[in-house]
Amino acid sequence: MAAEKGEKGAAAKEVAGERMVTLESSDGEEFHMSEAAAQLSTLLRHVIEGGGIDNGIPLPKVAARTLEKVIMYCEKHAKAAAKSDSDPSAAAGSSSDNTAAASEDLEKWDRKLVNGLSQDALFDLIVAADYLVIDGLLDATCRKVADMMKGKTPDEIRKIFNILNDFTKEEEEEMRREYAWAFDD
Amino acid sequence: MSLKSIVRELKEMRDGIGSMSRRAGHGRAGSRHSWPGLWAEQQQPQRQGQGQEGPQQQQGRWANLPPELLLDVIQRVEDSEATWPARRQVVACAAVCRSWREVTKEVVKTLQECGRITFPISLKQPGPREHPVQCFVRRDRASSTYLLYLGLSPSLHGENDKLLLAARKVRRAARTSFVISLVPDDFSHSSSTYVGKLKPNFLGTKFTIFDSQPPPETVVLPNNRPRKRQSKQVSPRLPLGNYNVATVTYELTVLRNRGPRRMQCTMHSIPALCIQEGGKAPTPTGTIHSLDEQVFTLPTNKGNEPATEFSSTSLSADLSGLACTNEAPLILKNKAPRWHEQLQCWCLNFRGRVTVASVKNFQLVASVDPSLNIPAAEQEKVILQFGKIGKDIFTMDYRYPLSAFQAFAICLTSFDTKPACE
Repeated sequence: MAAEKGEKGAAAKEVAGERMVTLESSDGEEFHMSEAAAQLSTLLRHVIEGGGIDNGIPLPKVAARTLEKVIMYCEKHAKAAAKSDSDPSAAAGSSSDNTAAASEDLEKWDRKLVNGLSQDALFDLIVAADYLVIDGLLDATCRKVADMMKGKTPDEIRKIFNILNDFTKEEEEEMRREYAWAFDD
Repeated sequence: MSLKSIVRELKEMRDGIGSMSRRAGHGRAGSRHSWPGLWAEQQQPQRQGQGQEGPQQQQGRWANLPPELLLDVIQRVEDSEATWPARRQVVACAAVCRSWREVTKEVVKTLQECGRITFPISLKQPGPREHPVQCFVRRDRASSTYLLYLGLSPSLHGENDKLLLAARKVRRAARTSFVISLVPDDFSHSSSTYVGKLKPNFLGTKFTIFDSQPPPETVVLPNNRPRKRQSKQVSPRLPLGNYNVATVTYELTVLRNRGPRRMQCTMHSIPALCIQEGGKAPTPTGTIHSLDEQVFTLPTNKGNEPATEFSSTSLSADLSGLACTNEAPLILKNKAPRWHEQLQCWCLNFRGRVTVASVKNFQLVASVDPSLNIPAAEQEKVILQFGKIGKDIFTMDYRYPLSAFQAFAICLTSFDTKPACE
């Protein structure tokens, strides 16, 4: 299950010149992630800075399939950040077009990522993004949830998210009045 | 409550009965924090532990999204759906389930704070200070109905116009009154959509505005007259009443029919001082059919009737009377038009919002006692403006400290003044 303790003497492994960290999902699977990518998570950043990650970082709240998506997100964004940092024209401040296009591409990528998720997976990803404190990912996932509700009635929203109507009969009456007023069709 | 009935109830919950049927004698204890004042504290102590868990066990994961995440999501909806009709999305969120409702109510600010009308209660909240809420009124002569819409003027096809309130002129014996409702097809006093009414005196020179709910921070002085009929209650917990919140009077000036009328509104429930910088006008935040949590007492009458204390938990009081603030009330007067020699007419600067001359057009500003030291700039502010822009179409712009309901009621008086006044 876990890697041998003796192997990872250094605080972080190096792979192809890039420092890597090892993460362990709640279901015991091991993942590797560049440190640069891990920095996108405030939680992981603190853990790494605090040292003591020789044996990998256990994430008991994040399942493997979710962690996979998290890592995809972080790696993608870390690379994009590195690219714009190293881009000489960006440094010269002359190609705002490039940076705008790049960030638009990134946004498209984010949307594609969240759109491809099942509802369950989306839920897990939100919770994981919150737990790991990855602002951009939390932003993208919450935005997706808000979009899912667009134009939907309360009944439809309940169906989509499998939520029970737990209002009392009286409260429901109140709700219906409010709702009739708001949706005055 | 017997153990058997508790078990039965839990079984029903497990069978996924969405809307709980209320058996005689008790409602749900459940989560109490979102519904202050909506019902009496009918406790079921044995169920307290269960009430919260029962339904949630049946809820999908999404109902248990951590509150701060739910807040994030709903905040996004609130931010992106700023205008009607899209804004109905926010109301939809508040109708999904209890936790969502609580979060939505937390996210949505009062009208004064965010400038947006969201729930029906927004209609009873003061408008923003900085700029007016712009509405228009459409009159339907055939049915004597007046409809208040949010928006600058009627949209081309009318589908996107948000209806806020409706009023109907009702004739009873020799008198007319206006009944104000949330919907254009139900003007019954005992209906849950009843919001208030407007009654003129015999001469049509003085009007009384009644609110179905007492505004917060007011004291109710009960009517001494014996009630003609028991006012019906929608449910034991939602007493409907008629609270006198404002009086509007019309007077002819020395010019009589050749000049504009003089209008004065005494807003019993709004303290004059609230227009000061940093002042606060009463802002209800519950629902349009409940009493706010505050307990208000009826003071002892001169006739030595015992003072009655009642609160949101009171079940059966027929509540009617003058609802007034403890301080000097706000008085609004109409801005005197100026005589334009060249045009040979009376003029007010409506800043383009009124385009047809009419005796109904007016602008109201605060009339303040100099001792209150309110800066001139505040006194100049037009708090309510009403005027014609076309056949049966009028604009109504209102701002702090008036609410849509109060503004609408005041404007309706303009439709009913009698020949004695014209």
